[in-house]
Amino acid sequence: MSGRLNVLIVGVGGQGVLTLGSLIAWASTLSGIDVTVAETHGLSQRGGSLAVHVRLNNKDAPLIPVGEADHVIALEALEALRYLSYARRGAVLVVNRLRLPPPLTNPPGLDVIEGALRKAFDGSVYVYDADSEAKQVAGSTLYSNTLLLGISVAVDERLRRVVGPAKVEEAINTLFSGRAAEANLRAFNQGLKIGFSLAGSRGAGQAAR
Amino acid sequence: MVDIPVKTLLAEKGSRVLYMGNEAIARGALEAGVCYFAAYPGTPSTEILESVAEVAEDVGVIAEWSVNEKVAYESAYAAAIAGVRSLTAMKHVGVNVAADILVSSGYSGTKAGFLVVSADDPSAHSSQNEQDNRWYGYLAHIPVVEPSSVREAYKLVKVALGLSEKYQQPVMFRTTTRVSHSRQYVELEDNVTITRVCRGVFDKDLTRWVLIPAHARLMKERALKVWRSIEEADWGPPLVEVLNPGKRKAIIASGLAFAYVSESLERLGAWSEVTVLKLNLTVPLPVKPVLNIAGEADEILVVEELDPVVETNVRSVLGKHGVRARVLGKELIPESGELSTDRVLPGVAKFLGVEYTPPPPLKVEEQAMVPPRPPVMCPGCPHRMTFYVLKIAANKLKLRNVVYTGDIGCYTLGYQKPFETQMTCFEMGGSIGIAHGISKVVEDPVVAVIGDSTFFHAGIPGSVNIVYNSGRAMIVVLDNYTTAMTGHQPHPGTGLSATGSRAPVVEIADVLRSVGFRVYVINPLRVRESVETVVRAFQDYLNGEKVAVVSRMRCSLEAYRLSRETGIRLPVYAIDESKCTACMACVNLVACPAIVVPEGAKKPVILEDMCLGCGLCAHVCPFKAIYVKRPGGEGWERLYSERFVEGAG
Repeated sequence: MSGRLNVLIVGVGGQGVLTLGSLIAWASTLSGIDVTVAETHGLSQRGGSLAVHVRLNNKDAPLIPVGEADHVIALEALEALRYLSYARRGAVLVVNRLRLPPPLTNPPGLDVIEGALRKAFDGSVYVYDADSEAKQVAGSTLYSNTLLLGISVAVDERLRRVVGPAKVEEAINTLFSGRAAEANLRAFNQGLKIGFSLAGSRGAGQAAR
Repeated sequence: MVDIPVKTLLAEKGSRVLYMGNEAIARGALEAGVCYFAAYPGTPSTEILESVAEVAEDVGVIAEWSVNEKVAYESAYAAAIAGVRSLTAMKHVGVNVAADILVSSGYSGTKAGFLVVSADDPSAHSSQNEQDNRWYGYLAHIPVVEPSSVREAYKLVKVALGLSEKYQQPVMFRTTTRVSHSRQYVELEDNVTITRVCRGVFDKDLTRWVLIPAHARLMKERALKVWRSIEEADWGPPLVEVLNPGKRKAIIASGLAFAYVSESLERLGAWSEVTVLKLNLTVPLPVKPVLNIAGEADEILVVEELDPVVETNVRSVLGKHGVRARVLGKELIPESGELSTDRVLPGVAKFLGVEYTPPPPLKVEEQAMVPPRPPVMCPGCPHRMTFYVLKIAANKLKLRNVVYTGDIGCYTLGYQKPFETQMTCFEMGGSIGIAHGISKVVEDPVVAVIGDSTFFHAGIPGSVNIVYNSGRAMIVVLDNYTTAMTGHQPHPGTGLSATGSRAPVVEIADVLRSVGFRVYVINPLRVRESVETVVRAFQDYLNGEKVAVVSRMRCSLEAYRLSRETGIRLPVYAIDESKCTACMACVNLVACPAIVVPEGAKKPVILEDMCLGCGLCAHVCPFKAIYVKRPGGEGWERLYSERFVEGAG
């Protein structure tokens, strides 16, 4: 299928990686777009490394082939580096400026990680401290995932064409209610704002990738 | 985690709903009139029963978390032989537990439609092995249906129930992780009938239901007759489909493998060059379609996840009928680990003689510096507290070489440093039998560590065996009031049923006492007190008593949920930098994900948003540098300690 768009979401179990996958899936279902989401559950969820494969305009094969993710959302920076090979050249990467070292390890620092990602992807890497921002606008780092989704939708026009902001909002209201829905909407909209300004500052050429 | 609105399982005919594979199976079964669901939780099968249980009372069906897979199978199968459509679901290794009744049910057959969902886990994402349960189909004469997608799972569940009823035979519905735990939208074909009455009639058909040797021989003949008629039937869609017939090369794809074959052919632009036999009924191998394509193709490639089940039988069928097509399979397609387009495409290309070089994946040297991130125990995890207590108590008695046998649950993670209190892990309930055997031949103290749900599942016979055979192993049961690893399902010790109503509590301590153990109960949230108690337990044990410890403290994820529901906040700890000497005791002895050393810093900090207030780090700190930054709300300990918390749903 020509319009296939592969989105890989990575992070640490407990950060809301699965929820983010479901949000994109609902948003695309509401838009009438065929989607598959592949998750892992059970033991791997407990603070372990986690990847959710979201394939938009896809038929049935649930896993994204190596080198074919068009867009990567990393809820944690080390995980962005770990799953780097899944991204195609020129993919858009949206990365939380957050480093959670596994217990008793001493991994590379944020600047090293960011440098490595830029080396591989040049202008299409967006690194943002979504945890602090989510805490400020929505009251908890829990909402950093929806905030990053806002950035993703804003900076990647291809993604935005498939999963529009209005549909994401509708999906948030489908999956959450009450205070959680409000907080997620605030985080998402703040992410959109941040994303558009990040994309704007890099010029239209970059934003249109 | 329930992140999809629950009642979507009851959405109306015609609507388009995003379902996880397991929800799609549940919905399909409900539409098809299945009235009795029984299961034991196990990844990747859990959400089938879980989603049914949440609507069971609305619909009027029976949904039970059974004590283990054997009992689940027996319960659901019993309903089916009494004429009520039923379904049991389990993970692949769960079928091993149910294998005894599984094989017998293949002899006796069924009356109403009966499905056993076997959720296999290629790559063992959350399992101790990746066994291919399609072999059980041959072992038990039970046909196997495999869907290739979530959408197909929804449709084929209904077809499989019909198949079961038509042939009066149980049917195995085999999924793999990427069907069970994938999501797709499903267009609903039917409504779910509300308020049904699950009433059957048990016919006293002794020849059929009493498998004494004389009857068993007759039933074996029955099973073989069914088997032959399924093998020889004229199968068509949706169970067997021939795409692009008449080519010199053919691919046989079973279940999910079809999705990867399809994407591979699309990539290679090779759809027109090859015939594809899409098999959703894989066991027994449908003979006619295989002979048909082999009559036209010289070369056949079988693509299937895990073992060469279809491949072996294709070779056998062709051999028997003297057909000379060349059959390839595991020469080109990996035999271990789950499939993906990455892993199927090169084999398909080679088979078709098409040039294919995968583009070199992006790499940067810094990737090599990323440490592995295995799963870890959560902040506030009661298992961490119990493991710490066990280690300290053993140290106090200078017990140096304690052998800790382990079991299946989140607590298996205790195999890691700094605890290493899980030194074996094979199967459900295994900790106790393994401990017994080791205790008979090794001098060191032996402690079996087992979870609450696992104890009910398969730990009780082992406990009886220790007493009966004068074993020397001590038992520690970790009672966190839930089946945590699979996503918090109730069990007989929780006082809750699958549908959320109150149920009688079966006390683990009572069970162990009745068997003959002296039982010590601890609440590891109170570390000091617990250490003292476990020291006494160890002393009794060393004096030759039969000793068991039941450690009761709620799973911290559940305590956190209750905290949000009741508004009672859990405490939050912090490290006083002026008192901290950077000795790293908290980092190294507690290994809590909420305690981190920030980049460039020397001293650790506690991530406030992650801390769940267990206080173990404060207990461990030799310099009293860890303090309560935000005290818990009144009665917060209850959230961790008490089985029932008032004011919480």
